[in-house]
Amino acid sequence: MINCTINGKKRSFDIDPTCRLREMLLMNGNFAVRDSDDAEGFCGSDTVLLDGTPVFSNLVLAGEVEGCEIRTPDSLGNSMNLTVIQQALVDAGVVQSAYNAPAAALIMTWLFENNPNPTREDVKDALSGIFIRDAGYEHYYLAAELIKEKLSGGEYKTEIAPEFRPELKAVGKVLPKIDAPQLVSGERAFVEDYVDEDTCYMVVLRSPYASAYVNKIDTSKAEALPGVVKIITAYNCPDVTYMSAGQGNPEPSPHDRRLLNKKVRHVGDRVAAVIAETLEEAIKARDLIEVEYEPLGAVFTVEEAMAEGAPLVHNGKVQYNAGAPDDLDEYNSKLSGDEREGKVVYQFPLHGDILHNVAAANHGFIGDVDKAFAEADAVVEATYQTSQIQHTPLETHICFSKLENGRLIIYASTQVPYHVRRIVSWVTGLSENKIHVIKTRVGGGYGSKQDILVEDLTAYATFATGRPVLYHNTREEEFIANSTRHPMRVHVKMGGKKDGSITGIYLKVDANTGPYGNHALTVPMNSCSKTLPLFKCDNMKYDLTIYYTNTPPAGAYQGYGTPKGTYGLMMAMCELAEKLGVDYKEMVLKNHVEEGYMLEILKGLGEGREGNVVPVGSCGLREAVEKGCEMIEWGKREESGDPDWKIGKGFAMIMQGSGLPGLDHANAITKLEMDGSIIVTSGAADIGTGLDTIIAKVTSDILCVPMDRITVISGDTDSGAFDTGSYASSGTFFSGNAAVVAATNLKEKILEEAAMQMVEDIEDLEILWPGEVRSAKTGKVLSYYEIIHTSTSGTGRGHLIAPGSFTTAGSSVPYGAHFAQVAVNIRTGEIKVQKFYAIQDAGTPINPEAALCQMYGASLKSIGHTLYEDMILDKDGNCVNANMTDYGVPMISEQPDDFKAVLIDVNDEHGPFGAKSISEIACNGAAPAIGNAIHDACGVWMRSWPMTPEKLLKELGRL
Amino acid sequence: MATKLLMAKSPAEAMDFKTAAAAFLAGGTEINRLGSHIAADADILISLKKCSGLNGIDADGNFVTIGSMCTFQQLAESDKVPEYLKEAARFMASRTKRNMATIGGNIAAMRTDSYLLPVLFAVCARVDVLTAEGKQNICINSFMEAAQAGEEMLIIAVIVPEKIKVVSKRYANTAQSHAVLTMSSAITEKGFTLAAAVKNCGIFRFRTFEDMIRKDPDISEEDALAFFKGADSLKISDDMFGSEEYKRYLMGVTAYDFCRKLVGKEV
Repeated sequence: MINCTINGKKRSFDIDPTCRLREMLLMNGNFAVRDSDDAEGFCGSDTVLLDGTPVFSNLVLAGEVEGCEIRTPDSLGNSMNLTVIQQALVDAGVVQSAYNAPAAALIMTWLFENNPNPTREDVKDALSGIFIRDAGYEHYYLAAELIKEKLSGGEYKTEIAPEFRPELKAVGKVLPKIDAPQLVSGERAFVEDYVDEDTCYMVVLRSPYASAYVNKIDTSKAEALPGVVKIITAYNCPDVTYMSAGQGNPEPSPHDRRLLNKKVRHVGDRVAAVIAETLEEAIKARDLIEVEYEPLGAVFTVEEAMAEGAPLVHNGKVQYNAGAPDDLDEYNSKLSGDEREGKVVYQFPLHGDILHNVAAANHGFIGDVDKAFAEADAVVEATYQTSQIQHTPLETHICFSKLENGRLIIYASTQVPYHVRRIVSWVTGLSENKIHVIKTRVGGGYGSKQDILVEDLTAYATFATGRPVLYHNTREEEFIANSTRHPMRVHVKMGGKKDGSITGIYLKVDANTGPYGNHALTVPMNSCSKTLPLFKCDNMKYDLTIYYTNTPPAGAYQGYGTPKGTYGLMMAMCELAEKLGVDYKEMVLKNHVEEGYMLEILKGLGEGREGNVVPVGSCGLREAVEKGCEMIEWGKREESGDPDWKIGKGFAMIMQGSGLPGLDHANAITKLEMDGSIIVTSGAADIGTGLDTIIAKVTSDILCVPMDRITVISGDTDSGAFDTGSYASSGTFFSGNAAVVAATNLKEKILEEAAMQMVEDIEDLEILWPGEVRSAKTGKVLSYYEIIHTSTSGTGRGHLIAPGSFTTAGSSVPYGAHFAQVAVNIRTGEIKVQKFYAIQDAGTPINPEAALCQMYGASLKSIGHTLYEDMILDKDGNCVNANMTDYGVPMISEQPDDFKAVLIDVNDEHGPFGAKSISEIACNGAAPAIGNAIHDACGVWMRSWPMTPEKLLKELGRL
Repeated sequence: MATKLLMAKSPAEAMDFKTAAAAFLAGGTEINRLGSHIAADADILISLKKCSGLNGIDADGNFVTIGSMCTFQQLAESDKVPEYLKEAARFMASRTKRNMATIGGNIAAMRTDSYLLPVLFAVCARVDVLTAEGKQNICINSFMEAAQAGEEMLIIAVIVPEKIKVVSKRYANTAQSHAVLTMSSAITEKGFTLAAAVKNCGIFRFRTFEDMIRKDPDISEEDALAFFKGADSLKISDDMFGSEEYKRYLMGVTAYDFCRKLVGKEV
C-alpha cells in the first residue's frame, strides 16, 4: 500500500510500486497528467509537483512517493473559476491545442509561488521542460507580465495584442478563446478522456522490412492467449482499396492501400492489428504472431525511385474511376499484377506512372521561359533539398470507437470529421447515417490529422468485434507509421535583368511521397501554386513529379508544399540579386505582385483539375516587406565583436491560400434559443486554432449578442452539417464564412418574425445590442427572448433556425515576409537565430492574440525544420531517431532572443469580416530567410535542409 | 524489466540489496526513461531517494564534496559548487529534468553524451564509493574502469577541486538533444587536461594531447586539427550525429580554443 497526499488529500493505493507515478495518478482521476513521449522525459505533459518541485511523473516510480505530497494541474481552478495564472495564459492566447496547457499552468503557478517577480530568464528556465508546438513561447513571457501586473495592481497594463475594426465588438478584439478555460484547467477534452471502462485495446504489429510480401501470418499462438479478442490481418480484412488523405471526394490522390496489405511498403507498415482486453495482453499477443515475409528491393530517395530498373513500390494493376487512358490494358500488362500487390485506383488522371514509381505529376507554363532566360542579363540555377520532418503533435494519434444501437460512435482527434466518416463507411460498408464521428479537442494537428491514419482500423475493429476499442500511437509510431513532410528536391532556374526585373522562372520539383499516395499531387503542387503567384513575371514554367518510395509515409503538413518551393525560389532570387548587383530588397519590391495583377500561372494549378485564374486581391505584401526591413535595419551590417562569429540578415516574401475555392464547402446552422441565446452547430473542425471562437465572434457581431450567450458545437457529424474540414488554411475563410451566412440568415428571420409580431415593416427594424429588435419608426423594442418566446408558443410560427452554406470562387490570399538575423560561427559551424520577425497580412485578424501565437508557433517550428529537424533512415529504411530527444524540436531555449510577430492591417474582400488565414503561411519563411541570412553572414548558400553545422563547415571548406 | 522496487534507507542497506539482477535507481531520468537498457536488464530496482547521507554539499576551501544524490538543480543553485560544474549541470537544459537527475546517477550511467563526465575527467574528480570491501576514495577514471569491469559500487560522493580554471563546450542540435561532443579542459596541479564525451564513441581523456600542450602551449590550430584527425587510437564512427570527420574536426577546433583560453597566448 502506498500512502501519499494528492492535491491536499491523503490517499492510499494498492498498486505495484514499480508502476509509474502517472499511472497511479490516473487511477486517482488526475487525467490531466498526460503523456506525450512514452516516458522520455522530454515533452513535460506528465509534469507534477512532487514535494513542491516539478518532476516528470512518468520518470518516478509509485513506490518512491510514499509519504510525499503531490500536486497535479487539476488542483488549480476549474473552467468556471480560473486562477489568475490560468486566466493570464488564456488571455495571452497561448492556450491553443493545449495538450500541455494544464502542465504549463502548473509550472507557472509553481514559479509564481516561489518567485512573485520572475524575470524573463526565470520564465524561460521554468518552462524549459515543457514542449509547446502550436503557440511558441513568446506569449508565455507576456502571460508572466500579465500575471505580475494582475497580482500586484489588480489589472493588466501591458497590451496583449493590437485590436482591429473598432466598429465591431467581437471580431478583431482580444477576447478569450471559448474553449480555453476547459483546456487550461485540464477538464475532459481529448479522446483519451472519453474512453469507457470496458474498452479493449488495440496494438499494431508493424513491418520490420521496407518492402516485402507478407506470405503467411500465423496468429494461432497469439489468439490462444487469454484476453485476446481478435486479430485482423491482410487475410481477413475487407478488400477495400482507399487512401488516408482527408480531401474532397473524389480525391486528387491515388487509392493505393487497404486496411492491411499483403505487401508491406515501409518499415512500420501495418501487418496485423491485435484487439485484447488489456494493453498488456494485446502487446503480449502481438509478440507471438509469426509472419513469413518475402523481402523485396526498396527505394528511399527520388533518385533511387527514378533510376532505371528500380524496384517498384506498387506493381499491381492500375484502375481509373474516370478518364482512363485508352492504353490502360497494355500498361497493366507490363506490371506484375501479383495479387499481393493490391491495386492503384485513380479517381481521375493524375499523370501517375507506377511503372516508374511515379504516383502523380503535373506540368505547366506561361510565356516562354527559354526565351526569358536567353534575354536575361544573369541566370542562376540551383537545386535545393528538403528533409523528412515529423509533425510531433503533443497528442499522438488516437481513436476510440464503440457501438451504440447498431451505430459506430467514433471519438476522433481529427481535422476532417466528415472524411473520417466517409472512409470508415467505405471500410466497414456501413452507410454514413450509421456512423457518428465526434471530434474532441485536438492536441495538435499541423496537417497530420488531416489523414485518416488510425480511425479506419480502430472503427473497423469495433465493427468486427462489437467491442469498444481504443488505439493510441506510441511516439515511435508517430514517426514511422504516420504522415510526414514530403522530402523534396526543388530545382530553380531564374533569370533577371540588370534593373532587377525577373525575366523567367523555372521550377522543377521532385517529391518523395513515400509508399502511399495520400496528398501525393497536392502537397508538391503547393510548392508552385503558393509560390509562383508571388512574382510579377510573364514567363514561368513548372514540372512536378511525385515518386513512390519505401520511406515512412508523407502527407499533409502545415504549409503543405509551400515552404519547400518558397525556400528554393527566395534563395535563388537572393542569389540572382547578388549576381546582378542589385539589392535583394529592391529586387523583391520590383517583382512582387500587387492587387489586380492577373495570376495566369494558376490555370494549371488546380489540384488535378483546371485552376481558377484570378487577379490578386487584397495584398499587404509590400507593406510587410517594408515594415520588416525597417525593423531589422536592412542594409546595416552588424558586427559580433568575435572574429569567429559573423552576423547576417535575410528575408523571404511568403503567401498561402485560404482554403480551396471551388473545392471546399462549409455549413453552419444557427439557432435562437428560448431565452434569446444562440447555439451554432458548425461542421467545422476546430483543432485548437480558435475556429469555434471565430464562429462565435462573427455570430456575435452579426446578431448583436454577447459572446457569453453564444455556444458553438462543432466537429460532430450527427449534429452539424457538412464541412470539408480544417486543412489548406480553410477554417476561418470557409467555416467562418458559413457562420456569417447562417447568422445573416438568422438575422433576416428574426427581423421577419419581429416585423410580424410588431406589425411593422421590416425595413424599419434594426438589430441592436444586446440581442433586441428596435423599430426606428415607432421606437418599439422586442428582445430576442420575447421574439422567440412568441414564435415558439402554441400559436407561433416555429423555432428560428437558419442554415448557412458557403462555397466560393473568390480567393483570400494571405501574404507576408519573414526576416532573420543569424550569427554563424565560421570555425564550429554553429548557427544562432538572433532575431526573427514574422510580418503578415492576415486580413482582419479575428482573434488577434491567437493569431500572433500561431505566427510564433509556426515560425519557431519552421526554424526547427530549417536547422535540425530531420528523420534519419538507415540503409534498410529504419528511422534511427524516432524519439523526441534524438529527432530534436525547438523548445524555449531555441527561441530567438528577439522574436516578433506583426500583423499588417488589410481588409479582405472575400474573407469573413475581411479575414484571411493565418497559421500555415507562417511555416513558409524561415528556411529562405535563414538561408539568405547565412549567406549574408559568411558567403555560402545552404541548399539543403536541415542547415546543420556539419553542412555549413563543408560549404565553408573546413571539412 | 524490473518487477520489484526496494527503498534503501542507507548506503549500506543499498549495497546489501545489490545483486547482479538489481540496479541502483537515483533520479530516474535515465533508468526510468524510454529505451533505458538498464531498467530493461534489471529485475530489481534499489531506489536511493530515501537514502540518508547522500544529499549534502560541503566545501573546505580546496575541495567540494557533493553527495551523489544531489540533483543537477542543486548543483546549479549551490553557492559552494564551483562555476565550472554549475555550467555542466546547466547543460541539461530542462529544469524539470534537472530537478530529478543526480550527479551520481549521471556518472553511473556512463553515457557517451554525459553532461558531467568530461568536466569531472578534466578536473580529475574523485569519488567516494561503497563496495563490498567498504568505503573507498578513487579517481573518476578508476571508477569508470572498475564499473566497466562490472565491479559493484555505490557512489557516495563526488569530490571536485574548488579553485581551478576550467572551460567546457557542448555541441548538440538543440539544447535538449543528446550532445555529439562535450569537451572540457582544465589547469590542474599537473597542468593542462583535456577530456571529451563523444556520442556513441566514448569518454576520453587525451593524455598525449595534454603532454603536447604541457611541452608547447602555443599550439597552432592546424596542429590541433591534425592531432585529432590522425588520432588512430580514438575510435570514432559516422552516425546520425555526424561524420567521423566532423567529430574529429570539432574536437580539434575546440581543443585549440581551450588551449588559447587556458594556456596559450590569449591568457
